[in-house]
Amino acid sequence: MTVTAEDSDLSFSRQALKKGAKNLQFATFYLGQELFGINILQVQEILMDQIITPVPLAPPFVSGLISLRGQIVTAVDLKRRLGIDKESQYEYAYHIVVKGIHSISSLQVDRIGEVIAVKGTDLDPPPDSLKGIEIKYLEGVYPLEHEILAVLNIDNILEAN
Amino acid sequence: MSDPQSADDLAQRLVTELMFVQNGDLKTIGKMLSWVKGVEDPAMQTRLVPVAEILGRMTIAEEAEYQSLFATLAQRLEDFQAEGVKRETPAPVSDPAPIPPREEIPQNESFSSGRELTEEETRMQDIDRDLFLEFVEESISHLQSIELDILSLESDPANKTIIDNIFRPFHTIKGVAGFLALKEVHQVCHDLENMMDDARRGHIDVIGPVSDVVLDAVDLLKKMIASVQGVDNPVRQLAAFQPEVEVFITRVRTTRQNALAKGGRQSAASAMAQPVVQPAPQPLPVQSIPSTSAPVQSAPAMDEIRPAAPPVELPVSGNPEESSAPQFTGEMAQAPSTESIRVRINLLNQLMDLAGELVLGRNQLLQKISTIKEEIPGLVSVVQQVDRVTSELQESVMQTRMQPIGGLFSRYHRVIRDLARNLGKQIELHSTGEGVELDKSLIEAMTDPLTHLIRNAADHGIESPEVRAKAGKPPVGKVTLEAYQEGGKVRVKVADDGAGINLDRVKSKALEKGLITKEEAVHLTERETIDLLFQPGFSTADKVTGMSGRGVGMDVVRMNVEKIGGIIEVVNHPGVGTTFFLDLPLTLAIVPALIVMTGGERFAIPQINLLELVHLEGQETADSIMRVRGSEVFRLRGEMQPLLRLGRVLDIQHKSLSGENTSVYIVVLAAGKTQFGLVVDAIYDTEEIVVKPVGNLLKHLPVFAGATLMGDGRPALILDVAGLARSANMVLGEEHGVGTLKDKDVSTKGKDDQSILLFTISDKEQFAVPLPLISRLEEVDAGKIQHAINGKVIEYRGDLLPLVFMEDTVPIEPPPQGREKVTVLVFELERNVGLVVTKIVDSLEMTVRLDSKSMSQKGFSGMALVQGKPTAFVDIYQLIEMIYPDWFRREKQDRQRIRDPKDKIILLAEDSNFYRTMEKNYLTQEGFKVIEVEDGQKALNYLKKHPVDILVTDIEMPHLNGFELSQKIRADKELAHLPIIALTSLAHEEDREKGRNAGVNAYLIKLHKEELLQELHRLLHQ
Repeated sequence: MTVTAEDSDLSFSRQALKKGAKNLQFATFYLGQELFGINILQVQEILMDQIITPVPLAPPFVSGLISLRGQIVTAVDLKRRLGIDKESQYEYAYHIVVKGIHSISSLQVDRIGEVIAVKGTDLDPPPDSLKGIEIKYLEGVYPLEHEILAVLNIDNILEAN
Repeated sequence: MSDPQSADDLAQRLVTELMFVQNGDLKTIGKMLSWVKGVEDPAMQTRLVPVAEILGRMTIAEEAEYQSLFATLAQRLEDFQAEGVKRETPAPVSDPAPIPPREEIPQNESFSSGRELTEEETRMQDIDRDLFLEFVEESISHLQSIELDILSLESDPANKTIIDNIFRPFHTIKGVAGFLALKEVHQVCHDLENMMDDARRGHIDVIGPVSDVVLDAVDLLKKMIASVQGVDNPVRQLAAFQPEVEVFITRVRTTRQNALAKGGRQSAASAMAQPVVQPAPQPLPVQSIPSTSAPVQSAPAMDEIRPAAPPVELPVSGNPEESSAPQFTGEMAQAPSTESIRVRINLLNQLMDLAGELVLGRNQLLQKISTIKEEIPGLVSVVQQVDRVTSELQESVMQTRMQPIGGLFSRYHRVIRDLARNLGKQIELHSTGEGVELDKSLIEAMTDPLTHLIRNAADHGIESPEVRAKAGKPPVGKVTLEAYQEGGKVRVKVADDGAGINLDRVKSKALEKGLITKEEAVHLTERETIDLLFQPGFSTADKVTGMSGRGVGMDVVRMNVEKIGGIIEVVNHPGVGTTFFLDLPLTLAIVPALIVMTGGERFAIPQINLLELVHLEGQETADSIMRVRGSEVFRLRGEMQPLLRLGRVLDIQHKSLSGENTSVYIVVLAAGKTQFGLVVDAIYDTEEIVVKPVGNLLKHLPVFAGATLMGDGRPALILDVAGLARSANMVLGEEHGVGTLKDKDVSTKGKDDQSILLFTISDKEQFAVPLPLISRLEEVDAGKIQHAINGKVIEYRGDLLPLVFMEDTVPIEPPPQGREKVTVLVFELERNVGLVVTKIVDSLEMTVRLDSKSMSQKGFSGMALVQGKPTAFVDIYQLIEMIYPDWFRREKQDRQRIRDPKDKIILLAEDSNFYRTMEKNYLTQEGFKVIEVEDGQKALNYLKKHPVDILVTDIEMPHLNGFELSQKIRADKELAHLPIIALTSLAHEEDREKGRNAGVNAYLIKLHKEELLQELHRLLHQ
């Protein structure tokens, strides 16, 4: 895999997140009307209109495989993974390619939002129940002016149960 | 800077450089060395030898030595300059300054172990990691070359070139090890180098103990070098070897000493030619010497500048060409000439990905411009060029992972040599095809299996010289190792000209180990017998030798070969030899694969698993595909093969629904020994596919081996054929597994015959039950079947008879709609129960060889071919329990159950294969451990040797019948108390009486499962 160069950054960001260091940036996106964020250091790129090859017998939250410049990337149906929506229709076919611990995967989302910078110290621990999402999938929450940004724990989301 | 032009120029420049050079400045020293070596004038070369030697030594010197070397060199250069000025012509050859002997590093100076480890550590940190890796890799290949050379030297001990070839690697490794502060490696090499130097001079011959010690040195060095691979602090790691190294060095010195005393075949001649040499050096101390003590051998003999130095002990080299010190630096300086370069494997993988992507891009480009390319002049040729280059690029990138298999082969020469010596045999290894290239990871994966096969060939295959002589064979056995490319695979052949596999011995061993029964042993074909070798826990060695019998069996060999997608085959020629064939894919990363489609998706099937493609149409389909106990099978050239439908296995929609009257594409596949047909919707082409891993979210799916990108850029999944077979519950590696169901129905009547009743539910499948279990057959109107609370019933003899419908219980084809009449088979099992079937086919007596191992479906006891049709044998007890779990509960509760049936061993004596299989099924289902024998005599023999808890015996058996057996048991003091259950079809009261008189504890009529179990538990409980 080709994530060597950024690995150090990545682990740094994970540490930073834990320690509540300052000035974190989150790539945000929407699932339905809800705003979510991913640490921008874990985001590799954003793709549109991917042809997905379904994988028989795979867990339901895996929508299939997509090709990314010769690499094969597992596409995750994020709505199903988070248990938000069993129907999992997506407004636009956006894929956020993220770097997990073992490999890269893509997360299907509805719409792409802005990049939001926050102070790490302002990140609150996730509440016990947020939009019905299992707590292990959340890194924390950050209250914005009009909404709440839920920051996702990508490592746990990409972990096979 | 250009190279020096004259002697003067050279001397001047060397002096200048020397003013600035510092210890460890390899670049400068290397530059100086290359100047010195670059001199073309032979006379001047000779004069420069000492300079080169000192420079060479400086590259590896520790600080203390460096200082003295520096002083020496300065002196030398001064002399040289003075000489050059004095004489316009180069100094005559006859006037060489005394050349110092090859370095003898005083151990207390350079490598005192306690000395500032921190400094060594700091040094290690400074050392380029790559250099260290290079060292490890290079050393290993050097060591391998030594091994080979030693072996060839044994047949030609006087060959100077070979001796040189052995000397040099030791020297090189020593040099680099010194540079890297790998003290222990350095020490070993140092002593070996000295010994080999004696050999070069002809003072000793490299035979017997000398070659042994060289080989052992290779082993020790390999071990040490392997231990530092990937270690953070190699210096510290190696310190652990210090005691071993000391002992070894002592041995080397003793060996060398003894060899010197003996003298080499050329020693006299050498002494004449080189008067300087002292052929009989002073004896070396041979006692164990700690490394920190005074040097074992004399210190550097630079007499002329260090007069106080100890006397020269080693003969001085009289041959400057052989001067070895510059070797190391020479190689360092000549780096550009090396033909290889170290590349991270990650980078290669990335290159591979990119090349793959380029291919996809090219394909898309070709597609997009296909309509317009004619419009732009010249475009066609450009596109063709891009097309071609892309293909070549991809090929070349793939080549980067390939390595010749010769590197692997070379190590077996050594293995064979050692084995032959230890086994007291004479064996030669012939290898060909070293140039055949395989993926690096495959070569690594092949190491263990090949080692095992080679060992087997030497140990079990090749006979002792005496035996060979008797057989009229040459005394020297031959093991052949061959690699060649064939189709898309590489075939590796391991052959010996030994005794071949003794099938009888294999059988008896398998019997002994309980892998097969006596009955099976009789019927095993040669192929099946050889397959026993691959059963876990099998070993034919009569005695466990040090070479084989290490607990790693052929089963592991096969597993390893299959793990990398290979196949292993054995060809046995009794008396002439054994040959193993390993068919391997060229690479793990790129495999030829067949692309198929099912449910609208493409899947790739690795070609190595592919046997053939079958297309059935219309009537053929109906004739060839059958259903047996709910599973499909199809007939391929008279053999029944299990059939899987890919769409069903993967649980995806596909168009062919039942396979009837439509055309069916079957891909016949093999995984291990399991063969099966896979029904797919369509078959496309074969392609070379690049195997890519799937993410960890999908790793757990056993039916996929990975994914690949298709020509259109879309991913497709690669099927794991073994995983498919496993997911369909096919037994892998079992000889009796599906796929080898041969026609086993024998029409001749024998004493093993069983009465069975054949019936059908639908007309596609045939079932059988043992006739003795059935009390009546009743044909009834289907309309008379009534619904009761817990199932369907019918009025029977004034009572309600509970009914069993197989189609509701086990996965079989449903009966035809609207049956007017059905047949009820009535079983008397505690209470009556009726099995509803559509049609009675026949009742017959025949020998049944029940294949129970391929049976995984509950409700059936096994499967056999009856009248040419695969027939599933119904286990009526299980079937009833599946429908009426409480049916036998009363008995179960009443039964005084043995708490741990698996601790109880039942000896089952029964000559009928059929009953034995049935009875064994009943007993093992209950959890007992069952030993099967097929007559009374064998039962008695077994009992005398092994502990058994209870005997279940037939009465009518050959050799010793059940009555006689019981009498003998009761008459035996040891066995007198063994509980005996007689299980027989002799139902007369007088027979019962006879049984009681013979000492039978329970006399049961065949074959009532519950009764049998009840008696077993009762007797065992007492």
